[in-house]
Amino acid sequence: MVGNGSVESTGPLKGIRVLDWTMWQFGPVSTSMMGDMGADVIKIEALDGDAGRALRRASKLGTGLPGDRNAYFETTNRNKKGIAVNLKTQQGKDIIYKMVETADVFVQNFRQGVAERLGIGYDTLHEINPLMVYGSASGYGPNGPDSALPSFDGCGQARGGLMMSATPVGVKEPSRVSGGVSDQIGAIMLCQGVLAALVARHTQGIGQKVDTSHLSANMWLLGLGISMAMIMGGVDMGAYERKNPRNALANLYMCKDERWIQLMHLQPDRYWESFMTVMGLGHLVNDPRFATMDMRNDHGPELVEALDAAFVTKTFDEWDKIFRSGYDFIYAKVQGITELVDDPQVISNDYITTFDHPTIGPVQMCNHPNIYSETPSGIFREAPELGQHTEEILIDELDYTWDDINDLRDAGVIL
Amino acid sequence: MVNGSNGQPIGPLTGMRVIDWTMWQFGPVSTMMLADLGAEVIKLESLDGDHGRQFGRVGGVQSDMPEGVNAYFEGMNRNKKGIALDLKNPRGVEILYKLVEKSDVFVENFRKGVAERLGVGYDDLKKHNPEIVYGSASGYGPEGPDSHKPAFALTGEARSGALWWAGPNDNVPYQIGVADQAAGIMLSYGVLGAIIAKERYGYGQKVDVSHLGSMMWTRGMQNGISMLQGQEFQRQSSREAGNVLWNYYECSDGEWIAFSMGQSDRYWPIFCKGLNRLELLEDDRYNSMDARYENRAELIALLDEIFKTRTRVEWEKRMLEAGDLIFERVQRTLDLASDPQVIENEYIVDFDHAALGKTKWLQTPVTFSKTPVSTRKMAPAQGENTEELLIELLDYSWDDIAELQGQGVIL
Repeated sequence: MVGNGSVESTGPLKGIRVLDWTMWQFGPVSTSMMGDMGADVIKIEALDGDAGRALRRASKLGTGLPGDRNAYFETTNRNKKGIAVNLKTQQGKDIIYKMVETADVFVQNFRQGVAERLGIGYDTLHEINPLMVYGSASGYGPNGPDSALPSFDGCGQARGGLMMSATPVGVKEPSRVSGGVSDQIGAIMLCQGVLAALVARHTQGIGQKVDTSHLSANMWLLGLGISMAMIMGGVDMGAYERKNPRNALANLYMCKDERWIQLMHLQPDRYWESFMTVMGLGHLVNDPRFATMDMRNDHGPELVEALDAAFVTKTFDEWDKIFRSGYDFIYAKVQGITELVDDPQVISNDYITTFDHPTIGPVQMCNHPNIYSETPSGIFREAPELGQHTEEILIDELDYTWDDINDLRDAGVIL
Repeated sequence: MVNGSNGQPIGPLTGMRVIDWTMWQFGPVSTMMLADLGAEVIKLESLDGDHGRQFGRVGGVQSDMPEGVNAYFEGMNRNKKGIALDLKNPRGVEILYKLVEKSDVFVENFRKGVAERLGVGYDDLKKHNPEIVYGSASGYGPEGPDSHKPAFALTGEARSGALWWAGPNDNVPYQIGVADQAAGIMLSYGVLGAIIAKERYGYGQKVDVSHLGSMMWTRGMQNGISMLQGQEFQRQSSREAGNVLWNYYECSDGEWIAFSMGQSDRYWPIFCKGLNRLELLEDDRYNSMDARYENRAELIALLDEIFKTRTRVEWEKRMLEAGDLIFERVQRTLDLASDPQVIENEYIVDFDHAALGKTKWLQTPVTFSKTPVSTRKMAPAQGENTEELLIELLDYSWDDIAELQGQGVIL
């Protein structure tokens, strides 16, 4: 177990201070990943809060939790402290400027121009703290005709090609990969950009701005397919056809218990004879239709039909047991995400972990996916309530007094 | 532009050296990203090479190219130098140890136990360089009953739940094809975290990343909600969308337009203006988020009809004029290279490839203001830089080279 439920963090970013002026998912996930890695993340919100706090429904799932908590917000904002400040007041800006003096990282995901209008753009903050890394998330990148356009998850999937590449062959309607993946990969790339800039700060002594976008991150998630298409001079890899695959030994089949199994033999010649024999299809091993990989491509549908008929004779567990008895086949069980909680592999590696949430009690959460042998990442604290740590941060970190706090509250600068 | 053949790196990892003992995609993508960021990456291959060099076909696409170049291999091994060594020969392992002494990072993606058998596991290498960051890729993570199980990308998608992320709600799994790439991204990210820890605390460590964990994280927000609520998200076709403003519609020219507005009450009036159907605002079947959810079937059918009356370009123009809406065209891979937004941000760059001439490449998608990423070098031919590295970096002589070649240790 990593350090769950403890406020003491252990990760590789322990001691790094991150100012997180983000909302919705793209920005917040990137900074919660920094929090997972041990950074001290301070979420800065306007007095009416991150709009994600009020997202009542994600797709068709309700997000309400006991204690007026929200599953969407909790998931994307763990491991942060919270401060609520009115950035439209000068005193509010001063609070940010003071925090910037000692911060290592500032992250924002507002539309191009918003930060500058409020006086917290890169140039302004870079002058206050030249070594600070400024991470910036956008829909379409810092340059180009659409750089100021708004964007949410689906836009990046649409423009970046992910949607079409997940669309089955012969289906006309684009297939959206379930919502959130586009934001999530954007967040992962933004966090990675910030990490690399922290390395450059240490080794080269420079602070800088790092930009990542929905468009670029979604393209990168499809990186190999896009690169190959470009290198080959414009051949789209196309989507996947289960009933007419290029390689029937790297394909999906349904077992007797309606559990699907994914085969993944990229070197099919190596496995052809042993696999077909184990499947009870030994009579096809030397069938001239299937003599070479290319011929099996040409006769894909017939081969899939034979394998379909073979797989439905046994349950997944029965096949699994046979495949494990001395063969070296490459395959996996097709699972749904609520099955992950009981997967011994998930449990052994702590990919889902139990966190004792002070308001809603013990809950399971998707843990940080990398395992560090010396500096474990983990879940150290729940998402902050709006402005939960405003007083603590102003008094302990920025030397404001209780009198100042009262003044600021009266002036509508803080909550 | 910072891209050119064999230019000097200027990225955030300039000065870092990475030993890349990986093959296929998961490992190679992770180290290519470190190379894009400016690290000197030395790809270490056995004498018969990364099997990815021989990968004849990917999906439906032939990957063999002129001059022995392979598009699959090329796509994730650019910016690297190459060295070929027989690690089953003690003299080959000795060369590796010498490289490790002079390096910051070592990355491998072989099955659990292979590295240890050859004497290049984490415990072996840290004896030669205690500060080494050792990145390790696996299908299922370092612990647990399946930690030894072989894996390729789709096994990771299958096990992690990802085959239920896309496609219609028809109880058949559909693949997305991103597990190796997602896991490669997470591995390079993990290595960066450990480099920071090394720079700050002065110790190395092992970082483990798996297909399973990475794919779970790629859909982390929704998986997180599912865990908190104990409920699975159901796949849906656009005909069943819970929010009609978070959906996509086919236009009269067969092109699709996607809308992405979670705050549907805020945007509904502007959207109706863009449609030129202001009367919908008065219709109490549709005038709130909940009402639209209740009556989504008939509303989506109506919107389908409306969108089929104009081309996508016309709709884009109307929606832009209506006000502040969040929408996008649905593109295909081959649309990307001519997208001005892609070009201006250098998400795809032109590169003058020594064997292929002018080609287009996808670049690591993070824009650094001072230390840009770059595409500098084509993928190495097998063992391309063996002699250079042995002589310049490790102080071997030409006589040593001849001897090692004679013994079959290097190519």
